Amino acid sequence: MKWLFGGLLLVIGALAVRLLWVAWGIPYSNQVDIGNCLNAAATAFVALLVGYLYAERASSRRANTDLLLECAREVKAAITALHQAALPCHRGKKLSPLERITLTTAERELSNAVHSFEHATACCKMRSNPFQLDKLKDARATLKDTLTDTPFPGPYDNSACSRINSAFKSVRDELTRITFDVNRR
Amino acid sequence: MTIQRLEINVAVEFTPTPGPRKRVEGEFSGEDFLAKLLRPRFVAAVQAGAPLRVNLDGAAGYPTSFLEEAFGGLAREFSSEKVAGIIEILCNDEPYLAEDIYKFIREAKTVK
Repeated sequence: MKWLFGGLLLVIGALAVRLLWVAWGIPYSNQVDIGNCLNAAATAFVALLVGYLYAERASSRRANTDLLLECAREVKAAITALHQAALPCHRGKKLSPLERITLTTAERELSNAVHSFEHATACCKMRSNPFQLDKLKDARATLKDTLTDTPFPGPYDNSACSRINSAFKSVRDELTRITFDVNRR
Repeated sequence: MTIQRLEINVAVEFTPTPGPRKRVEGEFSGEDFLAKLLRPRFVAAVQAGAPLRVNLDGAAGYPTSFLEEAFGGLAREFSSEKVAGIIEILCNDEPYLAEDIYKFIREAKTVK
């Protein structure tokens, strides 16, 4: 995409130079004078400037994308940690006090990781709701509800366990979609 | 002298490890918190015409059942509009928690 844009710029630039040349009636000659040299130098300077500005913009965009992907990796790590903390829910028994605290703490980590991701998109000065982040936030809220709303602290029956699995899948799917959207931008 | 604001610090005044929805399900429940702290302090705030700030920092995470029973229960008793107008949520530990609680207050008409 970047090369296509660069090529397009080059073609447009060449056409513009050709049109100006014809419009101003600049004559061709075999002699090179100081004016020709100055024209060539000015053209080269403008080309370098455009190239530099474009490279700088592309580099800044790439850096932002890398930072966003890093934040997405943190969300993924938090989901994995929460999944580990939620394993006792599938045991069919009431959670112990330690397991309850581990679960709510891991859920908080996920909540804060999603919040950091949202903050990162704001720092990149992107338009509001760039990757439909609300879907990830909703999936995160649903996951929290399935884990810590009634029948918390357990025992969780088969349908509650099924809802937990489904909620984890939704969060993972949303994160995967967003990760690809970030990479594609 | 008028009271400018009333405050509850959950981790200090109630528990740093909030529990389930009902008393029968375990200790430090949302039902307990509503009865012992939130409702009396809310009534006092209404009488004083002052806002009630609920500080949620310092606890090890809040289960949905605890929050819904406490804040949703308060809204079911006094109306969502009144509760939303008085309660201020402070939670630097987990910024989304305030959104969650205001949602429970708004949707409190649906009895769980």
